[in-house]
Amino acid sequence: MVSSSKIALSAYELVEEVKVGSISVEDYIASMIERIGSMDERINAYITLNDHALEEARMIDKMVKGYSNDNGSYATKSLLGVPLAVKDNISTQGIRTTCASRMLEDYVPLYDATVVKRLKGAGAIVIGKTNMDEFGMGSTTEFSAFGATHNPWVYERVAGGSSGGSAAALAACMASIALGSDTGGSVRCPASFCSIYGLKPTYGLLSRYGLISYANSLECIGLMARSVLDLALMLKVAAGSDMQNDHTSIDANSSISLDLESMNHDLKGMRFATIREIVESEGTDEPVRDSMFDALSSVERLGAVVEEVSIPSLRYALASYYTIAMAEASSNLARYDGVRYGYTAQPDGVAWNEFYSKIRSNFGSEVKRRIMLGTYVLSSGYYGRYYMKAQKARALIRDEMLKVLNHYNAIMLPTMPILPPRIGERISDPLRLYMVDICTVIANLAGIPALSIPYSMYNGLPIGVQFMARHLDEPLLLRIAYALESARGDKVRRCMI
Amino acid sequence: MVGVEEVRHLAHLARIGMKEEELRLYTEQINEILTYFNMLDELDIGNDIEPYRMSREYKAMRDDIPVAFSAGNALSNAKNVKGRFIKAPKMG
Amino acid sequence: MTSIGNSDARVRIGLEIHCQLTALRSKLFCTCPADYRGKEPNTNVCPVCLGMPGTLPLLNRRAIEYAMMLALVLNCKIPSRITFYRKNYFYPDLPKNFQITQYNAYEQASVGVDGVVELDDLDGSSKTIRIRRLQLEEDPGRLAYDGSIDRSNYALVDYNRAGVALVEIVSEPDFNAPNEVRLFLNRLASILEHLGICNPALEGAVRCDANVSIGEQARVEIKNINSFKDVERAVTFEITRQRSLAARGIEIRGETRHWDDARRITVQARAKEEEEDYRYFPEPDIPSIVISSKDVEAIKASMPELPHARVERFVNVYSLSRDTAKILVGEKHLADLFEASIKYYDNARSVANWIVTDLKGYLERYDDGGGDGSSSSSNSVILAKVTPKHIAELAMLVDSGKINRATARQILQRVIATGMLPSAIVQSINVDMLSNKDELASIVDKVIEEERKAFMDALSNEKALNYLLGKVMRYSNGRADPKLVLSMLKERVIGTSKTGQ
Ligand SMILES: [Mg+2]
Ligand SMILES: [Zn+2]
Repeated sequence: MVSSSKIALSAYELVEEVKVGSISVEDYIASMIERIGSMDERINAYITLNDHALEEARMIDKMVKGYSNDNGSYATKSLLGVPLAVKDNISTQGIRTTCASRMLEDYVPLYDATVVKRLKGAGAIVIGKTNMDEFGMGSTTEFSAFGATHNPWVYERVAGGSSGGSAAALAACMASIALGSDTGGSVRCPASFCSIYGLKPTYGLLSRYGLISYANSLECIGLMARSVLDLALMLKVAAGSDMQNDHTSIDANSSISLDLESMNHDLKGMRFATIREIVESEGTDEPVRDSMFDALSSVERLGAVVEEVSIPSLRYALASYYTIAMAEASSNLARYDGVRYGYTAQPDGVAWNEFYSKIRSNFGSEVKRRIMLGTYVLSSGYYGRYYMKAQKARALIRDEMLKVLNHYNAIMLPTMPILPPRIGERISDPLRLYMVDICTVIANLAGIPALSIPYSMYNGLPIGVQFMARHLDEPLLLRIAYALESARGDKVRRCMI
Repeated sequence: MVGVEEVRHLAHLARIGMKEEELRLYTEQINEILTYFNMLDELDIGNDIEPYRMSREYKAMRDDIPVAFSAGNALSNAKNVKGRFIKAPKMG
Repeated sequence: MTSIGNSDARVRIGLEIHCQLTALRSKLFCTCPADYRGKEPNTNVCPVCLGMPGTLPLLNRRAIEYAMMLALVLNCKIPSRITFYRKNYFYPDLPKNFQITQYNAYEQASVGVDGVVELDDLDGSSKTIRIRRLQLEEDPGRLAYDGSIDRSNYALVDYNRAGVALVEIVSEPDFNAPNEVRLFLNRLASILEHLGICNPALEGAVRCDANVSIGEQARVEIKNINSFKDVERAVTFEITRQRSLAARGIEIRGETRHWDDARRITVQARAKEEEEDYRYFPEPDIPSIVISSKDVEAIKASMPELPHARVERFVNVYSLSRDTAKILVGEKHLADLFEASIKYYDNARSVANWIVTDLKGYLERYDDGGGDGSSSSSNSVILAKVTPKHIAELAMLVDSGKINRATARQILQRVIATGMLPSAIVQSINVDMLSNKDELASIVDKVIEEERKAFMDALSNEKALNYLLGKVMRYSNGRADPKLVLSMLKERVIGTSKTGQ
């Protein structure tokens, strides 16, 4: 078995050891499965484990020992043997993919999502499918048909959402890297609450093929890791055009350079903006604001200049975001009707409307709420008042954000305005729950990349800081994170071992 | 704002079966959330702003080359089948 | 036949036509083969067209090109940005419970808008039919039942057809008579065939809905008309039905009726169709597609010769009459046959006449006289047997005087039955024209003997003379040279009057 210090290795460190043969992938995966077995009952990060993970691990060991005829191509695989946790709304061929919903409790995809395929191609091993808010609708991973995920740092707190399982798995060393999805902050929020990195890439940089749709025009597959170098490794493998599967994907892989190690550890010449409306908002908790100002002086010490700007249209961000997301969701989720896959009943002698209504009553309460609201804002007579206005507001917000980014390299904000709430604390008041997404949704509305960086702890509760950059400027975000990671050193813990 | 009957109609449009007390709860919550969305009304956006929309050159679309799906049985997730058909409820 | 001039301005008919782009090789939004016909249920499907979670639509560029071609021919404007929308409704044959289609309420976003078609084919008068829009959309799957629909407890779904590309053409209610509808659909069928984008003869490749109203009365939708041929029938029936209701003072209800092609009547739709709220919104998985004027020019340049131009060419190059040229071009296979045949025998007018009168006449008799622009499958079987060489030989044999037209028609039947070349048939059955006066004399005498009264009438009446000629032709099995027989008959008539018999 592998020692607990090894379990916490970064992916890039693990790959080095695997390639020189100092770690057996089979041992490593077995240890991790054992760790999941002992810890996950309390945390509930996983919905399903991959039955074939050990088999895949053995294959890699064979390659490294030269027992297989792959002609040494393993040496080029940058994620060789790395245990990968995949959010349960990302399709994995042959592994049940539930979206944490009863409606898909036994659905097994026939294909891998493009991003999963690419990571597997680089040697990653899918260790399991992680818990989430049903269909990605939530910010706490409490709205799951498989129970809430607990925050590994403080069990009675939420892990954040909707990619809570992936974030918790990383923080508890039950995976080395993870995939989440980010529609309005679903990667960054749990990353912040669990003290790991969460990157929401530029819209279209990662193929959405295989990501089960919630709000198509806003969502991206997001990358989660415990180190900046791991994020860079993942991004390099996962990014790139997938026009043969996804007409909204963009071809930009070649233009993104991710050579972090040769980068300076300072931020000289950088200009960052903070947004007055958010920093000064009453909804922002005091410890979060303090942490934000601390981060601000950190980047200034590294040579950056920070100024405050005002973006008045952000007032409409949440209304715009939720209107669009719910509208798209109401249509995307219409396909779950018990005919072709998923939860069903015998159709014999049942009238069709009755059949559909009965099957579809098995959605969870938040999903039903959003489908109903989405149906409302699209229905005749209301389209112009809600959906069209929301898209116009979105265009306005996007324009204003891009204008700010013309003058500044990045926008700096808290990731979440609040500390991780107690389980059960917020979920009964939907509107109040929506309000906590204010710092994150703006990147989705504008389609720009955003990264949550673990920054500090307050009474044992993690707090992240968030940077947003111009389209396709992921390298800048990683550079900022790398500089902060080096500067903060041991002051930030990213895994609890 | 919406009443219970309108919410019942929404539930029908979305084909989601709901009990009476659920309908009442949703009516309350939907009204609260719609009231919040109504702030979009105050937004004075002229027609000079185009609604957000992604666009792409027509030449970027897919070639007309047929490739039959062969990676597995397309019906493997369907539970109500009869021969090669999928069973569904009857209209009416 | 009622002419356009007789049309009733109070009758208003609009059409909504769905044409499958049968020339495409793959479906509209996935790479499954487009040809679903004759396949085992649910074997022509993939995760995308089954609406499996996580799949995304992948637009077929060729489908846009085909739709643009058709839009250009129908004189539509092509917007510089076209957009797909979702039409949301639940139906078991619809894998995603929404259809990806196009919609023009918020912007002009379909492949074509505001087209016009001039109907000028009849009686010198003409009229304009406005095309409201032309759009691309996906076909749903198909439902089947165990036994009858009423007895069955459930539906059986086959998604093989789901996702096949359709072009929907919606006209303004500018038709005032059923024959105008027929004329339009014939024209459309010819255009589809000339563009080579849709074969209207394939089962289910073209479907039509019609709406019919009279005066200020409510509008009635007729759905389920599965061939162009039946549209005129359905519309005629519906006008008659509405008129007779009006005559009895019964108000016409706005409703949806279905065309029952077995009984040839429209019937009230089974259940009152619910007022649907389709909640259209732009399909977020397909970006708006930018079409430059350069793109449009390139499409124009790539279009094959169209019916109108072909008629002109036939008139100018082959000196055909405009009517003959129009009849040929009206059915592309006939025009193609004509052009192939004159490679073997270059008397274009005689080949054209042979096809337009003899061959087409034969096909129409065979085809129960429906007079539809699209050929039925039995006609295509016949046409497959009649090669250009057959046509060329038949025309040549007639022109050279070797056989007469009546014989040639008989030979055509044998060609269809055996596939033999006409020259070979002529040799085998010795049907060369009877032009031996001695041989003919006995037949002529026999006829005069039998038809004494007609013969006497022929002295003063040309019709009686033709009657006698017909009889001689029949006795000679059509082999007699009609010119020779006529002159012989005239000789005898004149002889008789001279002798004062
Ligand atoms: Mg249609
Ligand atoms: Zn398909």
